[in-house]
Amino acid sequence: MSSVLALSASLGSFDQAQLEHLLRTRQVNPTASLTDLLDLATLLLRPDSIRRVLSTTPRPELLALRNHECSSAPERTSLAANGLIAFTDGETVFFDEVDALLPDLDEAAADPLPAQIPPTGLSHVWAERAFETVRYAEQLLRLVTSEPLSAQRNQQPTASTLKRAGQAIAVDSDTVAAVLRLLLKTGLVAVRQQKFEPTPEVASWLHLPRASRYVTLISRWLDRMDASSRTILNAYVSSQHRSFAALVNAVFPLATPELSNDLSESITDCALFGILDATVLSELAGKILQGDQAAATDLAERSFPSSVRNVYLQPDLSVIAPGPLAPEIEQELLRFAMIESAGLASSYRITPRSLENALDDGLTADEIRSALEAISLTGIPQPLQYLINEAVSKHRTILLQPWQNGSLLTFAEPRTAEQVRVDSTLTALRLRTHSENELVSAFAPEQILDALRASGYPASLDKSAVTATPTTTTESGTQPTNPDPLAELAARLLTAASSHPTTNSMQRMIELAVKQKQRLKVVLALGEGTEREFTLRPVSFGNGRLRGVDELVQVERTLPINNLVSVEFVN
Amino acid sequence: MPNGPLIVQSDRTILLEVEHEQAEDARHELAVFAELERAPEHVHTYRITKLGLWNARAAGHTAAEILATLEKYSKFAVPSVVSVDIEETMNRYGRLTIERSPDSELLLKSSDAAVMREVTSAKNIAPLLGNKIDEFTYPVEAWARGELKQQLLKRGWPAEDLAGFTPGTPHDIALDTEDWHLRDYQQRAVSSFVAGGSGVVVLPCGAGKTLVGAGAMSEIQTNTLILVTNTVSARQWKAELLKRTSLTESEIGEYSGSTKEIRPITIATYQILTTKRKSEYAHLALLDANDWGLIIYDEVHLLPAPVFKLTAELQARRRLGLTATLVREDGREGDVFSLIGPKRFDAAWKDIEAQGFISPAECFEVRIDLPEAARLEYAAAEDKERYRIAASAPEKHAITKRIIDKHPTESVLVIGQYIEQLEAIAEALDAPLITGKTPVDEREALFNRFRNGEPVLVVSKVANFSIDLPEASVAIQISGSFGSRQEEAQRLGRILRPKQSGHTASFYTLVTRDTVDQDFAQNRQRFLAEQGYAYTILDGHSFVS
Repeated sequence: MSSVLALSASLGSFDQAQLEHLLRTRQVNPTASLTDLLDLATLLLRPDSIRRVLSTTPRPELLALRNHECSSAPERTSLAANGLIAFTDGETVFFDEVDALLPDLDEAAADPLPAQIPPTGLSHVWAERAFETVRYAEQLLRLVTSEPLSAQRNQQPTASTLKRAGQAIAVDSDTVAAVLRLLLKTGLVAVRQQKFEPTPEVASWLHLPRASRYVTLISRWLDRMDASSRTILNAYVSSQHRSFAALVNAVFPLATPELSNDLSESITDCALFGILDATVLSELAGKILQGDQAAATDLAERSFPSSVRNVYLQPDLSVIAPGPLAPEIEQELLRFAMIESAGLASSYRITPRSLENALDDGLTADEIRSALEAISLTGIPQPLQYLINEAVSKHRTILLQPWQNGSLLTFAEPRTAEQVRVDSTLTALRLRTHSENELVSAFAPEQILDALRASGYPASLDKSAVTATPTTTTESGTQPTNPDPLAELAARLLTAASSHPTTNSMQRMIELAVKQKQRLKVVLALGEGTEREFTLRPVSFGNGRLRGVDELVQVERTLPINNLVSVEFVN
Repeated sequence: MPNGPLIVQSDRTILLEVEHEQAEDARHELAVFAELERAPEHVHTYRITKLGLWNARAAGHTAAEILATLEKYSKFAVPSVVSVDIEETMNRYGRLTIERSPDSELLLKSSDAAVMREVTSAKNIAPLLGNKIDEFTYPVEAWARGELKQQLLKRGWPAEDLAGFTPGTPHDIALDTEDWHLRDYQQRAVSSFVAGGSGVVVLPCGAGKTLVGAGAMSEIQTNTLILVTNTVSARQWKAELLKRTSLTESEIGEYSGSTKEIRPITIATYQILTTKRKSEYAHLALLDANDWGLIIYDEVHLLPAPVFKLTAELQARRRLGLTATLVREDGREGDVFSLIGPKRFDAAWKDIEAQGFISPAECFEVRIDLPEAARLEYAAAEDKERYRIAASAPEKHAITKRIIDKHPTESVLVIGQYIEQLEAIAEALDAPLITGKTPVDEREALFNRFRNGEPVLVVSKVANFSIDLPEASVAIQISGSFGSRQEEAQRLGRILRPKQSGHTASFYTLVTRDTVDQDFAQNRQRFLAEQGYAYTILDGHSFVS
């Protein structure tokens, strides 16, 4: 049987999850025009596709391919799952197309891959990293919740996105990129319309204690790690400090520079997230890999610095938590304060803008003061009292609402309307007088709001008006999740394989059989409900007719394809 | 882990809980290696910087000592990244040294050939060196000592300058301590400087930096060049030296726009030093006119860029920088470190206040509203005009009068940026005015009148610094140099001398609400807020009513 036919037959035994895994591993373009498993098999046996998958194939599996001998069931399963071998009729089929691309491999360089759960470390550096990871994740989630970050077409963040986010949460761009990867992989952030946005899962994650937040993140990260990253992680923690390049070469002899970079990034991420403790697995990661989440959570609770429930309110409007602020208190504080830096201790700041937002959200001055008094170690300083009073006195003095595809600005005082109209920093908004205390603009209320606030005006969206009108504001939790295109493709291919063959698919099989001199078993409808089976060696196919030699009687037959009920390859 | 007053963060900041019983001890030990960034009421923020660690290393402290301090006072475990960073950073200081060979040649030396290779291959450093002597030693061009230190610092390899100083021409100077003596902190500042050889002393305005200079001169006993910000300041220095030391009129010269005297002790202005004629510095000869053994830089945070360049060539002479704040609006703190020297002594403003050496001060931000017509003018104006309109709001005149009325027995300084505004307010208050255009003699006369009881003096930025007005207890700032933090500190400094009258100091800043004036005020206040001064915010109409 030809490679394509063998592989397509093998793929026919895959379930949805297996096929999805294969499509992902083999980086199949979900928009590729694949109508059935034959198309897929053809695609997978192209040299570029084989080269790509070989680059991520560990050395023992490469040796098995080269020697046409799988020494273990996991090895065989892995190779089959990646479409590098096929099982048909209980036999393992190796492909000439793969053989042709396999170089000589040094068997001596092959290291046995380590045990599934390598040794774990006992230092506590991981705990620092772990704690910071949770804090950064919390901050990044808050950031993307308040203003979704831009993504490129390839779903990667732009450099400016990373820089802006880094400035907002006071960490370097590399750390932002890593934490964003963590949030994407663990499903707390998703890319929609080229924006990184929080998923509905964020709410429940934020209700967890900090230790559980970490364990959840890391469990998912490890669970969703791709096979090559998992393999290199296992190898790394047992590598006896070998150079990383040498390690990659030993494990993935055909690795491309891109794969080496990806693997390096993966190990760096593991170190940053506290999964690694120097060069071994952290104690907590070890417990997660052993499946003991409760022990992992308990260990995180004991290793993280204890939370505090009170803060210092200072005259310079800063709020300092002298330790990690209990999550529920931080949540409350952040309703009217902005975070400046989050570490062991965190600092927050109450600003005119943060108070405007709080008042917009329906908080009252009394509620803000009560919340502050409840947590303050030192009362409320005079400048903060002043700021709250001032914010309240200005609140809703400029209201924005949609109006004729633009915005209507309503002012409590006509003189402020005139001031805004002539403001040199707002000329781009092209504001026009609508009445004594109203201006209009062609821009959307959200754009006007940003511009007015940037120029120091206490503007608010008139929420009653805004909610009555469709707006561009996104409710991340309520957006439909985009279907996974690879899952869709897998489902489509499996449906095609299991359903009654169409004329079109039978044509594809016959053409292949002719080309590869592959015997066919065909069933022909003879009318009045009767059918007859033939086993043919196909000779040609054209004008809707299959011509082939019936091997049983050594007669050449010509069968109309429209009358064929089924077509099947036979050995 | 003790439940100490410090929280050491992985971003290299350290928070100090002020009310903690160990806070005072921790503060003293922190001052050795960490820079105080903010000191509001309850939690002070320090930062571990490379410069701070190298300052500490220069003073003989080790990484182990610093880590022990952090561990002793820390509330939580010291992040490993901080520990590693402290060790690595401190380990860099002294790996390179500038020394003098037996035949007086300057040498760059290192015991680490790899470090030497790294720095000597840098294109900004190679031209400063002669031909390699061996892999651990390079000769340094005599003129390049300062620039070499600058460049090495930029590459993260600060050189320890062990080449010593020229002693200068000896000159007898003694403190005349018949009716006074150096305060404890002044003495410690002098000792730290003398032991270190060169460097900067940071003390609040009014805490007696001139006396630290005099103390240093009396210890070193050599011809001294004192560089100051302006002529009035030069004359104050001269008067103070005559009063506090054995020096006589004939031993002290003034080298300024109006007078060109070169004496064993010469006081020159930065301006004269940087005056150019036909693209050449016209008074460079001053630097070699005498065999100076000590150069004192007053208000080192204001050192003009050309003086840095000139100072790079004066590395063989002892250098003492004096300042109230190392904050430089141009961010050249690294140049101060490498060219003047490391910080040798620092005292928090509130500490000196607690000892009674500077007056307690209350700071007020008074917010006024722009009248409607001005609001429209302000809104329509371009950015550069907006501050002038907001800062010059005529409503400030009435509020200023009311504030002065609230302090009927005190001496009040009204300080501003815009001459027209100052002229108008001086006229409205019927008070004398000093600006940059006021001749020096007239300035001195007006300052003297104020010292002798004139109740109100209106001044431009010429009085921001180095002017000793002991009895001024109220300052009203009506406008300023945009968001300058050091100007705010200097202006408060004008009223911090303890008063014979017993008045505490009151510092008012008039700010036009909802304008850039308010934004700049927030930035200006940062340094003083960081020093523990809290601003009470008042409404202007509360004065009027």
